[in-house]
Amino acid sequence: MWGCDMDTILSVFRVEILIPWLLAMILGIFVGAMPGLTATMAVALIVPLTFHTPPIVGLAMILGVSFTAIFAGDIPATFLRVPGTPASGAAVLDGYEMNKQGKGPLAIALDLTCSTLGGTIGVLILITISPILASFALQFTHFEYFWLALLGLSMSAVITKGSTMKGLISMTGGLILSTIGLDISTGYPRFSFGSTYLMSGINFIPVMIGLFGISEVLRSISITSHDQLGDAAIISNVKADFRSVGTIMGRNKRLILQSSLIGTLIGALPGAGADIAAWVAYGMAKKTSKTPEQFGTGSEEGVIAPTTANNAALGGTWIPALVFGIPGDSITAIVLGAMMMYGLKPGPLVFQGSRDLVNQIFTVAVISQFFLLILGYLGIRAFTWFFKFPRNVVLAGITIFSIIGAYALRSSVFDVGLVLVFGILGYLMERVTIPLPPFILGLILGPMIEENLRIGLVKTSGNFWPFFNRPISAFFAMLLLLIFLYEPIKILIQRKRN
Amino acid sequence: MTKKSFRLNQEHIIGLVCLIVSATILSITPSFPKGKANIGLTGPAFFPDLLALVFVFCGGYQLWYGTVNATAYSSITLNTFRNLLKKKETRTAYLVILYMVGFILLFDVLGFLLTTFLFLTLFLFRLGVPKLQTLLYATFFTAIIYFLFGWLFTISLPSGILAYVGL
Repeated sequence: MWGCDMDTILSVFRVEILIPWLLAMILGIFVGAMPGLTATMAVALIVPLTFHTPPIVGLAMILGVSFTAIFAGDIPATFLRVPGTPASGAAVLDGYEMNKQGKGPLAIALDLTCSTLGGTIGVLILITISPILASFALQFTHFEYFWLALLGLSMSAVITKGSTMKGLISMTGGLILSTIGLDISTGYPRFSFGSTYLMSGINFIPVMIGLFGISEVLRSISITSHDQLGDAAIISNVKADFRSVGTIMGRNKRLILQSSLIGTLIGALPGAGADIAAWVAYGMAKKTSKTPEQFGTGSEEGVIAPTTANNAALGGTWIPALVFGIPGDSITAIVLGAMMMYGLKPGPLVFQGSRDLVNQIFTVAVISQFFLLILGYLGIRAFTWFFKFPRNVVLAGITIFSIIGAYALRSSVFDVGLVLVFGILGYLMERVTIPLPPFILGLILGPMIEENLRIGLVKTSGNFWPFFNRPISAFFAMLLLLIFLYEPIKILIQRKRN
Repeated sequence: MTKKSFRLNQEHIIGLVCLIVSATILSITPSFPKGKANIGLTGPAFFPDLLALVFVFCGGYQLWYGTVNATAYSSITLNTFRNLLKKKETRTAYLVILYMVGFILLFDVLGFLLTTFLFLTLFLFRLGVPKLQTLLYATFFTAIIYFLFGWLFTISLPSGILAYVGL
């Protein structure tokens, strides 16, 4: 369990941790609230800065930035009808309706309190479940890890928006990219064409910055007219009204708990992030509500459910990431990469080998919720100023931070080139509706899948049977089959009925 | 009966790209060494070959899907690209890519300070920021990044030609 003693709590309250942590949370509010800029992009921007800090500082920054960015996306969703991040899509429906009825300050106050509560419940479930799952995961061998990684990757391909085939293409593209460089077993340089840069493999950081940062810049520029690029996003005053929040939340205790559980559970599924969690929680809230007809017309329940679930999902995404080394979404995919850069190997052994660090991560995650409440409140107040920032200046800032961030990694212009190449690729992929998260997950999980598959095959002298005849392996294999067959079977059944 | 002419759409292009990538992989991997104890499955070519085969399947599916659902997608011709180039916003996006290429080529030669300032000036001006504000923002961002990366994190940023004047 969580070793939350006074020493652990005090260890994260050092100035060298606290200042970058709080600054990252402030950045998260700014990026999350800017429509079009996602929480993933906020994390991608912060990661290059964390390579030069101790692991706990970097992880505190990443955790903090993700929590605030997800909440901040709800601010423009409530006041502008424009979700700041995809995770705020569901918050638009009733938040904006409440704003139209003059209850915007109440909606955003409810939103902030529910985000904090949802985030706390998600983190507490993470703290409780992770060590139990980790001890179970210790029984896993190469065969189980192969299936588990493949399962996580496939779920991300199936669950992400758009067609499953395009998800599979994106995932395979990432896996193919992961094979560039020295072969893990023989040391043979694959697809490096004599380049020393390629020999060491494609680093995921420039790829991720390109895919999520530069592609977004290119997309924004190519779809926004020049006159609008210089516009500020909002002109009206933004406030929060906490007076009746306590009473409303007291009335909706069950809904808060239900949405937190849905959020955490969906967050824990690889590939399903905060955005899906928010929509599912909204749908469930409507189904279980006594007044479902009020949803979409400014219902308080319609604000509570998605905003609680999207922050709860963040805690959930850390469960597979920490326990199995399988990212729950694109943010934890970045976190996993960053952890590997710090020399940590996420997986069940991290609970034994780096127990202090894990306890510190849990502590940071809990305390981040309190900071979210304070910074979120200040952020809401500061938004009249924030929204006055011209969009074109923000885009220039993101571009140059992305470029220099990638350069700082290895002081290599080659990495800047990668940022550009993958920025263009990401832009094109989004234009033809190929999802980006499975690509980055494929790149990160590729070595793990290949290593476990090949070591497993060496052990069995090329026999595939042990991949299927062990109980846990067989279960994972069946699950994988079900994931891919679910959609075709559903279509077949529907056709038969019709 | 009217004869339907084949029209290329985005699904076809995705399919073709998948097939080209897989063909490239499958043409390179035969030169890779064999695996341990000559078990081909454990050699360095096994995993890329497997992925290439998945890509062949994906490419084939996309070609079929693009043909069956041809009416759902607009066809792509040379005019599509011409029209894209005519659009001011798309041209700006292409120019930004060009500025980044310039940044990469000049970074070591001109150094961090000059290249970053030049890049930001061109970028901001192109995006319609007024001249004076462009210069102010370009100076501000260059200084912030220099402070953050060069000074705080002591990352070696190239001085380029400014090294000759002692900067």
